[in-house]
Amino acid sequence: MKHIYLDKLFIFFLLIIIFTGNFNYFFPYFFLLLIHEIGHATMGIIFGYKLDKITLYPYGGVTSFNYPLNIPLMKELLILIMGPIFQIVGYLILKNYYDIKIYHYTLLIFNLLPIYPLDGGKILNIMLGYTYNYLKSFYITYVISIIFLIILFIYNINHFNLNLLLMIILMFKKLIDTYKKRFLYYHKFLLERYLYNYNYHKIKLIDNKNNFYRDRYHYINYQKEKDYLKKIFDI
Amino acid sequence: MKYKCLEKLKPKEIKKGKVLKFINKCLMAILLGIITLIVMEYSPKFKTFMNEEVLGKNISFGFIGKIYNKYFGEVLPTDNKKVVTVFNEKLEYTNIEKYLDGEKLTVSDNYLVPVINSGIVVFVGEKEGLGKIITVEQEDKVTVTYGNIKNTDIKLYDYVTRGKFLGEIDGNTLYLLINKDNNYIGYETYISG
Repeated sequence: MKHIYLDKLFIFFLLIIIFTGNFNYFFPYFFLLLIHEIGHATMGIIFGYKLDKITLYPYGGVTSFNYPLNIPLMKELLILIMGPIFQIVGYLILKNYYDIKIYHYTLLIFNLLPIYPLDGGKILNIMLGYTYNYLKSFYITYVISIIFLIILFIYNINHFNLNLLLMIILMFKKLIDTYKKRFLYYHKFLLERYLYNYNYHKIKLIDNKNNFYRDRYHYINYQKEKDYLKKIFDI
Repeated sequence: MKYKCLEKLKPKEIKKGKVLKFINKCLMAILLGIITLIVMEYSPKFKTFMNEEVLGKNISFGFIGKIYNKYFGEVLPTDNKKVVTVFNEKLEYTNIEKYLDGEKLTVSDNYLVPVINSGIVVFVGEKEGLGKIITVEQEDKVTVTYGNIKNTDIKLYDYVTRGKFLGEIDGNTLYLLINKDNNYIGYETYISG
């Protein structure tokens, strides 16, 4: 329990639910939200990563681990996919007791939208990571996220909903934040490669330090990866 | 040189602080309660105000929900297509007469009762002389109690919509208690105005 945090927005949402008299519908909604995050958490713990914290927002949550940026793509994909799977299982059990069909599908579709801080956006980033390099897959995900966020915003103007608007603002803020920190993350990614030994099966030839791929071993201008990174980090 | 402020607090000390804070909050709450009681004792005006405004009134969740839905959209996602009025929300009866605080309506056998107006169910249970009752706090700040009902699947704090099936009548009498601003009014006066 000590890992679970409620966001300020979530507490605001809770107060609105209480004052508009939706007491009966809150528990199943909250339970679905939590079971989704527990899905991510269990898979991460099975892989042996340390759980940092679970933060809950009105339309979803964030489960953060202390795992390296060089985590294998397959492992991260499994951690991300396990959330929706747990949610579906939870729904199949709970649907006999509560009428939660609409909450389940809303949460599922919202979380699988290709916008970066959501599960869908992260899955998109991993899929792109198989074919494009780290920075390029980040930029493509970023552009798609912005497009979908604008579509969501236009939808919200037509069907106004305060909670959704607050979520859009929050996601936009997070997107700007990740954009500002993109090189910071990229250098952390390179530093991890220099400090620890990872075993990759695929080898890639590249000519630039900005073209590093995830899940691949590199030769930069016919130079070994470690030797090349040594020049950057060892002064 | 040691910086005391930079040293980490021990876990025990943090716990002590939390307990003290909690005790302080409790004491403050008790103090405020005692102050209001003392003021109520000395000023009759304040006493009547407290009795009427604070103790005598409820928060109308249904009304707040209606206003919120109108200006800020839905709180939780709902299926709009699903909300269909099944019944005519007007009651069909042959005879109406006074009974206890409210009224007794004579209806046909096994009459299916519709919800008069949308609102939140605030009480489900049994009461002497009324049988099984369901109380709905409506969006127009009126509380309606339906008595003598059986075969219902409505639970406490459910949101019921106008014209939805509330329950079946046990026998052929329906008891109705309509409460508006702490006064009981008849069904016909409620419908007309």
